[in-house]
Amino acid sequence: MWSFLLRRILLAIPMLLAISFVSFAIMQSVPGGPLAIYRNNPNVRAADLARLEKQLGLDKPMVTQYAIWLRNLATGNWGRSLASGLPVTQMISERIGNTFYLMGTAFILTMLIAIPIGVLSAVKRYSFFDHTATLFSFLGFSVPIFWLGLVAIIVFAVWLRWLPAGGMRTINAEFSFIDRLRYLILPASLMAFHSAAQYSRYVRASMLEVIRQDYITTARAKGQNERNVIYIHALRNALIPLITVVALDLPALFSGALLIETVFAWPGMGRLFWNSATRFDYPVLMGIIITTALLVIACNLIADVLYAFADPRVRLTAGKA
Amino acid sequence: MKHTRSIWLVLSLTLAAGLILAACGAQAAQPPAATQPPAATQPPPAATEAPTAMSMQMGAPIVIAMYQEPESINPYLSVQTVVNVLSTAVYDGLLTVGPDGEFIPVLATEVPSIANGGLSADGLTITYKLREGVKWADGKPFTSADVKFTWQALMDNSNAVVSRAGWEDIDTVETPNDLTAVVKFKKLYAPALTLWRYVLPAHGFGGGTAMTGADFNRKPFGTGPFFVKEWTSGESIVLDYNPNANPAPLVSGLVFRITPSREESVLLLKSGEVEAVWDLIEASIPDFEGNADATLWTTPSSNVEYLGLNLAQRGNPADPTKPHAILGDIKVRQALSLAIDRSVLVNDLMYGKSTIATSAIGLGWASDPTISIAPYDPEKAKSLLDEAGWKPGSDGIRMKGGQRLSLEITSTSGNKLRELAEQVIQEQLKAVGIELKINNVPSSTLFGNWASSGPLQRGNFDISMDTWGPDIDPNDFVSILFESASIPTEAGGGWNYFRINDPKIDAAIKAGRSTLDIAARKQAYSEVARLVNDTYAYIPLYNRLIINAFTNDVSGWTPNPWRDFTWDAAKWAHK
Repeated sequence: MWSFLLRRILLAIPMLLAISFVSFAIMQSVPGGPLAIYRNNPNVRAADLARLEKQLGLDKPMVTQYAIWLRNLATGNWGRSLASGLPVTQMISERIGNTFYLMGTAFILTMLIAIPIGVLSAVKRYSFFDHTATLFSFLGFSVPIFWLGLVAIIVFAVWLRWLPAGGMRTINAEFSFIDRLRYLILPASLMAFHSAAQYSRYVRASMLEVIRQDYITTARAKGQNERNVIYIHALRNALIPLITVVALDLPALFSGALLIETVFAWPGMGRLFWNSATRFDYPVLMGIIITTALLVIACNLIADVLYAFADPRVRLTAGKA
Repeated sequence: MKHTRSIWLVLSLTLAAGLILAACGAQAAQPPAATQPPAATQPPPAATEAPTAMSMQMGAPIVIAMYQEPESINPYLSVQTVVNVLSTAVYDGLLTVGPDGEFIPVLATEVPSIANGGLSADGLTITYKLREGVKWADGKPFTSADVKFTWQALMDNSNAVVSRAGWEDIDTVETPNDLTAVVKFKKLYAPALTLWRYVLPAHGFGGGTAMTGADFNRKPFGTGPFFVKEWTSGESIVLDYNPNANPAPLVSGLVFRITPSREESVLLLKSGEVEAVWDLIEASIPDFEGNADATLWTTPSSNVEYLGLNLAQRGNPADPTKPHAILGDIKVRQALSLAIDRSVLVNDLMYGKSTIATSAIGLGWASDPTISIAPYDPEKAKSLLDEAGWKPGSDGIRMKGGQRLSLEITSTSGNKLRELAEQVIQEQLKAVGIELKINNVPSSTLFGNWASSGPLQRGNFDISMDTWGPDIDPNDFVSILFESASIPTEAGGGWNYFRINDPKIDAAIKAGRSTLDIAARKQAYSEVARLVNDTYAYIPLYNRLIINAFTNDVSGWTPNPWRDFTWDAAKWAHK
């Protein structure tokens, strides 16, 4: 177990290096660059551009710039934004909490919706309920979330004026739980509708798989009532494959959802990434990419470990990682 | 059951952690007091005698939606318009420019001129007399040292200042007393009065001149009507009123809500969450028709939408010594201009709110209203093309020596109005036998530099469509766009991507920047604009609009094409 963990953590280092180098190279090869917005401005002359290029270290070759970035990272210095001059760590920490707050709520809602629906659909396969659930989950899959978001804003914010059209809280007001909740309802429930559409399918498929197993028949034969059979014997085992899916989705709790954040003006990580990408703000982009990469690697590891705990048939060995 | 229960436990812990993180995030947005110079970043509103009485008379803050987040609120470190919108509400300049293009003294007592002794005869010395009794928002007095500091900070090599145009021509800034600043130039800089558009407080940056990355850029204060109280990344910037401002603002603050798009801003206005939307585009005009709660303000700007024609042989890079295979002939360029019915663009695409552009300098003291362009005349266009040897081919497109009269137009992708305009022009040119192929690219590609093979820089295009316009002083604009020294090369150059090389234009631009005599300069720029029209390499289409929306509860705003949206924010009020 411990040698397995150690091995995986050591393997993560070259992986992070590779991810960071490839991202850095791709970013730098995109035409434009951090000085692009200055070029179409009559006040910024060629001499100014040359000076800025030197001041921001953009005149050095790509590999040198990468080496400098990596050396700084190794000493805990994530760099400063080329656009705002703020430390990258500060910019990320200002946003990551907001994203987690939205995505975490949406995630809980997703589970609350997806698991009961998935279970019921599987138990009452091909019933009216199952067909309705299937219909809604295909709607959730296929209707673009930004379109749903805009429709929800027009209905609930512009026409009915029940809920705010965007943002996270009433600005310039005291903290209030109700206020926070009002801003959370639309983005979180739409996000949940969208993800529950997928998760309910996983749960249903996984449940169907499990209730055909011999031990379920055994449980029924022992005279267990149907509730216990489904919720104790079947569901527990059906949720095991879900661990992997959930764990792989966990990084999104921090990296955010660009579309929903954009539609609802949510000050999260997705928008930070988008704004930084359009501005060619290399240090911020690298900071977000490294954070996300770390989370993906960590969550993968967690998934494997949890899987081993949940399913006694799985054993972690250092040899076969 | 135990297992599922533990899942719920994990989930509820997730929510709890989320709420804690959210709370932490909110705290992180306000840097701890210890990191700030105490007096500098926390202007005490108690500095005036009766702030409470004052705020009681004041209206509630006005909430404004803006679709961009500023990089900082230091106008010298960024070119973003939104940075200027915020900066204009916070800082004052020595002078400002009114709606009709006239200079208005703000922190100076008068506009320096030769008559009042503020300007030396050679134009190399400018003496600013400063207003007495002006205080920064933190209560410290404003003096000539702040004027000097602004220049010094711009020249500090550790600061990533975006433009030092004019600033680096200054030799010294002398401060004989607190209320006099004498600026001595090494050489004549014609737009000299446009410098010090914002005066920064010398005590704002911890005593030094290092600006890049300074806390002050995020929570600045000035002598203007408001100062920044709180900036929550990605969400909002809250401005509080400056108790020392003169004139005092009529509302107790401005709240800028950062939205991801103009469309989202309009939705917020419609749902009653904001009272103003900054910087809309023409596509929003029908959105506001029949809206009784809000008014859309459209005003002409100095920006002109134009076609830029490549005079040099197209290539990567172009060869400026050889003419363009098709556009090298002035008759073809002239025909192109005559074949475009600009009234369709103005009436159908701009909802009749705009006007036909006739000159590169369409607004301000340097503009010449007598300049006109030849009106739409497709018959004349056809005969010019005939004269140039382009005869109609079997499919209606003209041919000459086996070559089709086919050109490519390139512009920034993702701009709906521009795409529609291109299609209209495409149809109109087809009617006279010119084929136009549309090939739009992202703006970062279009305006890319020489090294990244930017098509305009390299001359690898036929026709481009773009918007550009002069500032109140047109010098920088005309010289970067039309002077032969600005033809892009590998070594640098500017944005004369048309590759106009006309000694008469060069001479007129030089004449315009060699004197401070306004009449002589006016004549020089009139000549520049006329000569540029005569090249038919720059084909003006229509004047772009400045569009902002206010709900009918807000009053006091006057449009000003020369200054940013918030230029008169001290006068904004609730009805």
